[in-house]
Amino acid sequence: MIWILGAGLTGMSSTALLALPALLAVRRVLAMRGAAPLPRGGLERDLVMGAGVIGALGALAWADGCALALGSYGAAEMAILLATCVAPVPLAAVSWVAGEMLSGSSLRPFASFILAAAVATATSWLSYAALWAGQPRRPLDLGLVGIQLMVMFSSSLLAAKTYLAVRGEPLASLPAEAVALERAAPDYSSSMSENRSLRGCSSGFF
Amino acid sequence: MDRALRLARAALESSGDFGLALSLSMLALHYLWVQARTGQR
Repeated sequence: MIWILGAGLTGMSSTALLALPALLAVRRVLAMRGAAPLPRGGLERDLVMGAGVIGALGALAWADGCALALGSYGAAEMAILLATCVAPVPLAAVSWVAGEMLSGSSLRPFASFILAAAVATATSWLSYAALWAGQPRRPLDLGLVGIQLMVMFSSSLLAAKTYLAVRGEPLASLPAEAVALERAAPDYSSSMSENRSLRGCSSGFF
Repeated sequence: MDRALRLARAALESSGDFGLALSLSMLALHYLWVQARTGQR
């Protein structure tokens, strides 16, 4: 029970301190900016996934660096906890920020971030439970760093894939009525794509 | 220059799906190794 409470508090604080400032700054930039630099497509998708890879490398360097700086005793445990409990939400924010900055604001920015963060957190916690919970202590060596890197890659890339799947079309390409309907009745019209497929349309709205 | 750009593009394209498949495979292998080591003790 105490572990669940601690993990929840850690996730909330990392969201508030590490991810939320970046999300708010991006929303502000998107509101001030005229046009997105890239259209949606293969290159933009690859860049979002690449940002996830770079974010995973940075998060791992940060987690292991903090653990080593805090002290040698229990450095491995601290590094694992930082990488699996603190890093997932900021990792999800990396791909979200990359996608929104590269191709403009999406139809479902908040849902895509929340789902991406949930996927990253679940992946990290499951990895922790499967690989390290109840295992004997081990030093922070190259083998541990390698496995940590795989965990970070998995959670970051799965979060990026979730974001890409959920975000929807760019707002700039949709008519105002479509955006208003999506925001006013998300339960009624669960997604634009469902509406379009039900009505037999391939493009546009209705 | 073109060759470098093509390499960068190939690395970028493979970083997504290939990177995800590789990392999940490595995690699965490590999990099996951890289970086998735990079973020996």
